[in-house]
Amino acid sequence: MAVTTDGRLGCGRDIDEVWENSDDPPTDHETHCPHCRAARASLTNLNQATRELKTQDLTDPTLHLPQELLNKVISVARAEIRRGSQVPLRRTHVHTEPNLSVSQQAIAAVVWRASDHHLPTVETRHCSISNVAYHGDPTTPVEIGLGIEVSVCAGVSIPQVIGSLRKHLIAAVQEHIGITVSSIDVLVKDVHDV
Amino acid sequence: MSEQPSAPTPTLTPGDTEADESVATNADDDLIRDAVRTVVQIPGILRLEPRLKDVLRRVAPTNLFSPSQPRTPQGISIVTLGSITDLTVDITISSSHQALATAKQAEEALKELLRNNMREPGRIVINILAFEH
Repeated sequence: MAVTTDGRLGCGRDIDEVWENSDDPPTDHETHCPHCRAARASLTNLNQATRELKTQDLTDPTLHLPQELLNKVISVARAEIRRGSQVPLRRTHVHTEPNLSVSQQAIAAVVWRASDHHLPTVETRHCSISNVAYHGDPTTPVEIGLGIEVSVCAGVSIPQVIGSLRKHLIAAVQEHIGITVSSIDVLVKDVHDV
Repeated sequence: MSEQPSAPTPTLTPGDTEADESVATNADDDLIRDAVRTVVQIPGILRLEPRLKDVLRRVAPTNLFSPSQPRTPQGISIVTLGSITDLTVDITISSSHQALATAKQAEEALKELLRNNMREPGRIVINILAFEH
């Protein structure tokens, strides 16, 4: 089977085209072309070998993890995804990697807990972290931006309640995390009745 | 205000060929045990927290990435080259303690532990993964 460096067969067809058609009956060209016939035969063998290996792997007990361990791996993997990335806790100079960090999830937990104090007037429904500034003098705090989506109670002064929420969140993050919230973008997405 | 460049911290990363040549010793095992004890005794630190790499390491019959590395408890890893030792710790802390202060305390405690064991502290990494109320 002659194949050029770009995957073209001797007849000019791309081998990927032959692969895509390999589960279907050969086309008229493939029936008569020696290049395509050879390619189909090779690909069919490869397909068969792959299937056999896959079946073997599925039934080989030495390749199976105990269910308990598998559950643990999945559980830990899920927890890592939920945590999000790590946010530096202390500034470092430009070419130095931070060595103290806290997960985005932990910061969000502080935000949620602080937001609970404003229930039922304001409900925080989503929190995101952005604009992390951590290069510079290690004695100055790291700065982050927060983005929150809220629902407010009908009839309240939105600027007043949001202003109060902002102050509270900034103080809570400073107290519990030790970093500075330099900006909070608030999106009022909904109005609810108490 | 211009920044004064600080002296680079001696450190190394897994995969460094010199680190791969380090030999796991009983001294490393003892150090790891002492490091775990040191960390969990710090006020506010509830426990070491397993990462996915810890769980996967337990699945593999040997440490595939660096056969000379000791098998460590979950939530802590150690890389040693000569007398320079890097430690990485993943922890859960109590919400009644500040993350930054707790991390700094853990960093200093581990540096002191290493010095007391005649090791030069390399890179000490403290990752706070979760708060618990």
